[in-house]
Amino acid sequence: MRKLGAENKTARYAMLIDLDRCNGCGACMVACAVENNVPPPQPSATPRTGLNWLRVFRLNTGGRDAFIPVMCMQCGDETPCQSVCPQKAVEFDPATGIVGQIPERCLGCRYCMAACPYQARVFNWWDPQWPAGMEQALNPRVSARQRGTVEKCNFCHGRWQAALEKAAQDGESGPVRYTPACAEACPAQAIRFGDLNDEEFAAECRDSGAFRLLESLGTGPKVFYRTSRAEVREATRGFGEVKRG
Amino acid sequence: MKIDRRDVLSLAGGAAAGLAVSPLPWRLLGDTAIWSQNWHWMPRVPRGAIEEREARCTLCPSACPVKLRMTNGIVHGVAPNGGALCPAGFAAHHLAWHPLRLRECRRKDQAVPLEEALSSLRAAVAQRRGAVAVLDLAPGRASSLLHRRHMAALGGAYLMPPRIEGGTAHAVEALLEKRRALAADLASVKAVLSVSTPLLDGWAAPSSAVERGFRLIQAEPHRSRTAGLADEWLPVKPGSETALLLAVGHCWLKRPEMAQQLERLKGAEAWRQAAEAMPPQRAAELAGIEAARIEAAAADLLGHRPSLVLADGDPVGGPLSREARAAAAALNILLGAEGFRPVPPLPLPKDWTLAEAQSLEEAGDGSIGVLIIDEPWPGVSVPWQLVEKKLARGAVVAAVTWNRAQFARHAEWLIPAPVWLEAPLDAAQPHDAPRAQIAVAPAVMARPKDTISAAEATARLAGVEMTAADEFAALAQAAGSEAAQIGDNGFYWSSEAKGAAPAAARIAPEQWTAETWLRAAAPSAASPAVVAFGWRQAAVSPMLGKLWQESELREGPQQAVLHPDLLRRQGMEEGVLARLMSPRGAWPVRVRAAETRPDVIAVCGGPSLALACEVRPDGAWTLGEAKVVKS
Repeated sequence: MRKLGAENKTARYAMLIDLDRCNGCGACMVACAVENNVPPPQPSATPRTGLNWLRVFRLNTGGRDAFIPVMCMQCGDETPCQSVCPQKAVEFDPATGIVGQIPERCLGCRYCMAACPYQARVFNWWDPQWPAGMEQALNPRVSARQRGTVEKCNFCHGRWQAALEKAAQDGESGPVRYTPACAEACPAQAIRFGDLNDEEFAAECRDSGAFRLLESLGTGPKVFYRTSRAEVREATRGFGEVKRG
Repeated sequence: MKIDRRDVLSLAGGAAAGLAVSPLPWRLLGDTAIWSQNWHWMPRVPRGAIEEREARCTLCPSACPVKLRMTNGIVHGVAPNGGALCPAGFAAHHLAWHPLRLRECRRKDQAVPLEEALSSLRAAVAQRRGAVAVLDLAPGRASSLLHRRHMAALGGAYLMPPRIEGGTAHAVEALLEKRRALAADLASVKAVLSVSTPLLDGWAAPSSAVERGFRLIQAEPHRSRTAGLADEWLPVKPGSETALLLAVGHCWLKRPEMAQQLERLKGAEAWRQAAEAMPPQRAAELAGIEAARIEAAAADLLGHRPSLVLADGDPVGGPLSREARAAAAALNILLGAEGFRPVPPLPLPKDWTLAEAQSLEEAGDGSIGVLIIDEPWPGVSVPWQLVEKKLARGAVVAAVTWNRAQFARHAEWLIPAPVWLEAPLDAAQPHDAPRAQIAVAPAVMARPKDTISAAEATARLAGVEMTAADEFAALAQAAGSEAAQIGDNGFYWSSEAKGAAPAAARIAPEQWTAETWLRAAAPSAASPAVVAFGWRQAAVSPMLGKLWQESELREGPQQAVLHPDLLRRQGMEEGVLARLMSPRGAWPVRVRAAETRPDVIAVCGGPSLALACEVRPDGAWTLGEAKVVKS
């Protein structure tokens, strides 16, 4: 954790995922669930009804398997989910660029799920249930999930808060550096987390091999992907336009 | 002043309007949000300062260094500490609360105090001295040394289950001039032919090797995770592995350097005859793939030296046949065993005497009077039939185990064992790196009452005065200054291999003829053939269900994988429940369509899948005659 340059008052946190490195191990999915107190699957849960903030899909490329981790893309000002929420339970934070989800306000109408072009939002169908005693191992920095609300990735808000507190203790102000659980977990170092105000990181996200999902919609996603395999880029076309502007 | 109905209504309307702009409704909304987070059935998040400790994950031989995040003495987060972790590692701390955790000492269905169980076992041991054995389901640990020490004191036997990971190395060891323990050196090889060995799923070293660009050819009936990530997938028929490996040998026989290498080896004639009788065209017919692909694989291995051939088998599906392992060993011998390196010995206090390490197959049938089973972590898969036949009539079986699902079903005494982070427990030797290690994770959480590790239990039975912690400390002392302390009672020591594998004396086991090889070359006659596979770590935490139940990232326990055409032919649809029928019973499975051979059904299972398997005379086990039928 390190303070960014004093000239930056705000951050634009973003993720750069190297699909050539991702081997689909799923460590990011498990680390995300453990970090954010997402409960284990209910007996009747399916891929359609399960509670995953981050999901790794296997891409059918015809050759060697490729995988694509998909989570909330943390869209920019034109966030589709925010504009449809009747409860103001979705808030874009201009200080971080993170689209926040406030479960206490959410009434579970799921308009946001319908509006999200990335299908990155999931509905929590069940009260959280943990095997007896396992609730002692919940992360103290994150609340338990609650039934009847929509959930999504928030770039590990609990970790951002912790980094902010630490910075305040150290007498620092302004945006902080931190690492979400998935980026920390990735054994292949395929997931990198950074700030688009950081020129070096932004340049990597702008590099010719990088692209964003459904960029043509103009939602301004802040999750970037990179691959050198043409067939992998082709396989992501299911998510829309792949060309990086 | 007269108050009429209009005044009352105005007052009510005004009050309602006023209330709407007052803080009350918002306060109510806010409070409702707080209440809804605090229903009595909602789990309470722990409160307190977060501290970090260092440890090692000892649930597999990789022994990855980890950082533990703890609050109030409970671990709530595991993160890599200067390395990487597998998905199971991130949920490894959940093992303490696993729904299958054995929490009390039992004799069959009756709870008994631990001390009573230990005194009954002591009495049984005294009565049947000489017929006592410990079956170590995770051999190669420092705890295994403790077991051997305790068995030496007791005059008992130390037994290991059939080796799956490292099985090829074991077969190569038997062919050396001077027997040495070997391990695959995946960090330095440039090409690997892997036969049904999940190199990229549960093995640690190959991921870095893949980054280096090593060439992986995976021969396996279904498109496993390793097959999907390999450079080449050879979808061979189940049971045709020996034919494939002999055909690779056939291609190599044309090379003068290989013929020269073969000249000086014992058993060469039998192997040569078998290899000559298995040209790629014949192997291709048996394996159901093109001959050109076999020839290309043979050329690849010689074109990317140093190379390695592995036929260890699947940790859940079981080892490959003895002949397939021997065929892989023969190819490695022709390659000069360049993919293997000798493993240094473990440090040992001078005054320790150890019982000989024996494989379970070597124990005489009906010879064991008292059997202590050490099942320290999830994922150990051995069919009970293999153990049962070694027991004497009326034998006493005690399982010192973390769970009440597998061996606990067969044991008379169930003794709960502490799990990772509850007691100093250690990892096994790596099978994918030529390194000797002792990795003892420190105990950082309180252990439940009445738990005892198997090493502590065998020490008590043998009357060894030292506690397991003291014995670990003695090992750390023997390791000297190279042992690094972890926490209060853990330590890590490792020693890298030096030098190459000793020269080979033989290419085939003694008394093997060409017929021995060729008899085993025919594939399974069943159509569709049912094969088993799995992921050892799947049982570590229910959280791992995210990977197969709440997504389709990988296959998980109780799932069967069929080719879409076969799925249609069987009259089943994706996602339906079916039944795995074997002569040993029926198990529910959920079917999934995936890329696999159209004549194969691959069943993914947990350790209990071994119960459905038939044990063959060579100690390997398969699903054999099993079928998957519509439920």
